[in-house]
Amino acid sequence: MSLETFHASSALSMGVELELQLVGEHDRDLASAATDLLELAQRTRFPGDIKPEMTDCMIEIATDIQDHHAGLLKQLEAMRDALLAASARLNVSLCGGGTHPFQHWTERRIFSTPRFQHLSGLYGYLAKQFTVFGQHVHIGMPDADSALHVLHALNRYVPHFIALSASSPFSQGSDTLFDSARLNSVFAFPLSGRAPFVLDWARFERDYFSKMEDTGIVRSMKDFYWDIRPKPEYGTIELRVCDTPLTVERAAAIAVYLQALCCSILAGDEPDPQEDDYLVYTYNRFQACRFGLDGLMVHPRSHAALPLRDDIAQTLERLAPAADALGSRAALDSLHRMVRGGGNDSTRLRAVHARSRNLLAVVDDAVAAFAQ
Amino acid sequence: MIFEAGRIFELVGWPAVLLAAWLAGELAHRGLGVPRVCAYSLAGIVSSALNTVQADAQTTAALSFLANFALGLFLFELGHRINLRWLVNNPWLLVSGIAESLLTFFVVRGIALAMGQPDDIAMVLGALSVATSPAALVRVVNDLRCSGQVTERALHLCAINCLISVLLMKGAIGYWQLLASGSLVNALWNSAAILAVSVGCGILIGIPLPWLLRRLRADERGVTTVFALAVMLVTLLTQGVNVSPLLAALTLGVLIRRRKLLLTPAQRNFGVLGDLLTVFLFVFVAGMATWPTTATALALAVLMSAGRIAAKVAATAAFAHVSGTSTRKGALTGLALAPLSTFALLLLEYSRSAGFGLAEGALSAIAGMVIVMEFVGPLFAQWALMLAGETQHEERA
Repeated sequence: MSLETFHASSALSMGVELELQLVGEHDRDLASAATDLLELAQRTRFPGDIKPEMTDCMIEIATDIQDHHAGLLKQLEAMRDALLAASARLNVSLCGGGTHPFQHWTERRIFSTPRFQHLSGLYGYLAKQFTVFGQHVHIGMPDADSALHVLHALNRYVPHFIALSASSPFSQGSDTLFDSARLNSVFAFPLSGRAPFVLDWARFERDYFSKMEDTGIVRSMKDFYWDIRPKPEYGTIELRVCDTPLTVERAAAIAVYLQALCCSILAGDEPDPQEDDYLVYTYNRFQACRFGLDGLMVHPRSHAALPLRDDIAQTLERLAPAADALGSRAALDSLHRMVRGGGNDSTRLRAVHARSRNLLAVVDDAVAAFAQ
Repeated sequence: MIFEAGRIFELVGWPAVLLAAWLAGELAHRGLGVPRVCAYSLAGIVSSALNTVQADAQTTAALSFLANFALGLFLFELGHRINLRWLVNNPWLLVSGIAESLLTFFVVRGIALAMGQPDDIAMVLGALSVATSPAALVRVVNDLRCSGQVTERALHLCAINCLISVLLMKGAIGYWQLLASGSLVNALWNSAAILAVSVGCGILIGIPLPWLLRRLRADERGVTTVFALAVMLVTLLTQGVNVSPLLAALTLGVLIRRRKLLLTPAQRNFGVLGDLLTVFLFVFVAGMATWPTTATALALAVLMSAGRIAAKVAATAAFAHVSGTSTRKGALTGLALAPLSTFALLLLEYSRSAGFGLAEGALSAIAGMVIVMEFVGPLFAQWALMLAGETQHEERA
């Protein structure tokens, strides 16, 4: 199978995928309920897409193609409400959050589809440890070359999305000291990381994808677990670094932030990407994972050290006109308040833990936040 | 002779039998994939048949207390998993629990009547058949680390049918008292008072306990110890005032969960204490059962067992779709409710001590069913949970 043709899509259209946790009512541990929830949710017309994920205590929901924040949020809320109604009948709870605070990976069961069973055989314990929950955002691109251009121009903003969405401070029963511990699980996969620096689709296909395909390591774009990857069959680029936030409101706000950034890049308001931008990439990404909004990032061009919090706030302010045009100003303002005020979801979960000293209370809080 | 061989054997009899039962349980589980509790019961039946352990009245009372305590631990754990809000969110589940219980009652009673049992005994047999053994079910669920709809539903339906079984049993006793004394007030008073006092005992302990644990910030072992002592306390308290220790333990479990207090979870199965008491409970209870002596009694036992399971499977399958699961999973839930015994026998034992004369006659009739279900029940439960794909693959030690 060679690389699929890039199907151009309506520029700046959006789609959001959320991986959600299924937790038991009595012990708040992850619960094997994906099959039952899928069956029940599909009895009536589900307001979106719903499918199983790697292990049977997670499900993935996806929106249709949306152009504006209002429609996106409305659909996310409708899907959430449908899921809450179904899960109440099955005695399971649903929540966001990039990791479950205390589940033990040895207890996970791989969902029985051939693809997941194949991945489990290939990756061993990595597959089960991959019981982490992310938000993926697709943004429509007018053509393949623009997709690669935007993908690389976004490199310096990747830490923003990590810090804004971070909701995985706890893993396997302890505080990891990371705001996003989830990404550490993702980095363990051999084909994770960033896309090679190629800005021309024909070259990307000839000089990179075909060669990789010849090695037998990959068969489709699906096999790359890059932070941002092109998705030719949808005609989009897909941002994959976000933890699933605790609320669908934040998930929608993060999606429209990406939409506004892509709008600005496509309009030529951002400097063209260069290969050397990536010199600081992994360091900045680490800072965002470890310290969240309190991280210090190094600007790829000026090499100045900037508090991530300030850089995000300034970017949000700069994007205000684009957000106005796209109808997402209120959502960006909510991100601005979060950056300047209360902090991300990891801060919230750590505060619950500090008060209660109990990881069950942390899951309870996440469950309550999701149902809000 | 410096020592008396018989006396020594009397002293070491129990631990020796329990050790043998434990070994048999491990062999059964690892070698044959059979639930451990089946082997414990077998050991109990063999030891009872060989008459290895003899006990005087005082010892029997102590052992009976231990058995109630052990069963109390299981009921507490079951109560702890019960989410009353689920029954509100999904009322069809409650309906399916009531339907399953009543259908079982009428089917078993009908079979007993058809096989020539008098109506009062048939009624007691029906009432006792309703209950699923919480001990066997919780043990199988914990041993296989089950998680999923069939597991959740079976545990909730188990709590419902235990409660209905107690009510039906009290109803049968009340009916008997009505016949004996002619006083309806007396009959109703007896049932209602027992129910209220049992639940009250659970509440009495259940209210201050979580508060204490939170203040102490107890860890997993601390919580386990305190819960175990609380169950012991309600067992003694209820035995003292002659009400149901089992209902009190169930109440205690539900209450601690319902108050939504964020406690560190107790060790599954109450850790080593639970393991030890499980062996004892199953050996002790199985020792109380006797083989049917006639072909008719055996036929009655087999027919009642088959009718009981068929009733449970039929009712849970019938209500599966409306309660939000597939008919297949509904049927498997019914199958997982198969274990019978401990609860029924202790209930009967208790009823006898409460002066219910008919229980004597019912005991011999139900003993046969107990012996059949002692082995078949946990096996069916395990089979149902495996077919539902809700068991964990065990790590090789």
